Amino acid sequence: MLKKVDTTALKFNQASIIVLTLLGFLLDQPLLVLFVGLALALGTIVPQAALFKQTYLKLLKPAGLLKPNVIDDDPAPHQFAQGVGALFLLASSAVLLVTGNMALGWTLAWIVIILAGVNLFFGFCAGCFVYLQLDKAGLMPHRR
Amino acid sequence: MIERLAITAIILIGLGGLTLGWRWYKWRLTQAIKPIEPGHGVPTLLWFTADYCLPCKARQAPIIDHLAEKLGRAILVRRIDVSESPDLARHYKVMTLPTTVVLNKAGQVTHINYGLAGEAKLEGQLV
Repeated sequence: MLKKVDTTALKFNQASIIVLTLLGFLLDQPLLVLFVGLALALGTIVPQAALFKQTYLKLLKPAGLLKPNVIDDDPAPHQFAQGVGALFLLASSAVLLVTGNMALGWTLAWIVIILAGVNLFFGFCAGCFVYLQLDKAGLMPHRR
Repeated sequence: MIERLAITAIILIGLGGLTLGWRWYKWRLTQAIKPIEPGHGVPTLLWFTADYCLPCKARQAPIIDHLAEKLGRAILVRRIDVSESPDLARHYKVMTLPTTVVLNKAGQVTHINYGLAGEAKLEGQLV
């Protein structure tokens, strides 16, 4: 279903994920990864509560630091991709904080960094691609 | 910290290498695809789409429509539904939707774009 989607908000979301998760890796701070995962999870369940999107809408856009780029698109694949990112980051932080398995934990985080980077710099959303394939196979819930 | 910076650098260099490798692979693809019909004397844009592809309709379609209007007879645009023409999609190595394939005046493939292709990019490839 087509709605108005601000691609600048999406790009800011991706950039925030990359910067914060990478910072978490460089500083060895799994709690930062957990924070990003929780922010994404909340934003997926309650889109209006998406932290990074609200930061863009309430701070950056009014300040003129970022300009909106609104297009007709379906927000569902992007929400799905965000949800998958949240799952990976929550899994990453759980592995890091509970089991202490650094290799597995940070690999999960890096998967999110890389896929967010591919989306941000090359315009390919892996999560959206998976969503569209699942939708094509009739596995996604019917939306009005 | 230094160790982690080094790991980050290695990963980024690796990704850079993958990017270059992908571009080389796409270039090889364009060389390998044989024309299936003679050229039309103008560059041709083959636009692979499908009814179930929402990004095709919502985002790629307006770009192609605008480009066709802007360039007029200087190019030929062909919309191909992959559900109706799966063999054609296979011939042109379509792996995702939307995919746009640019043919030169002789009908030879010069560019393949997987995913959404912007107007400036397509215009640069066509003209």
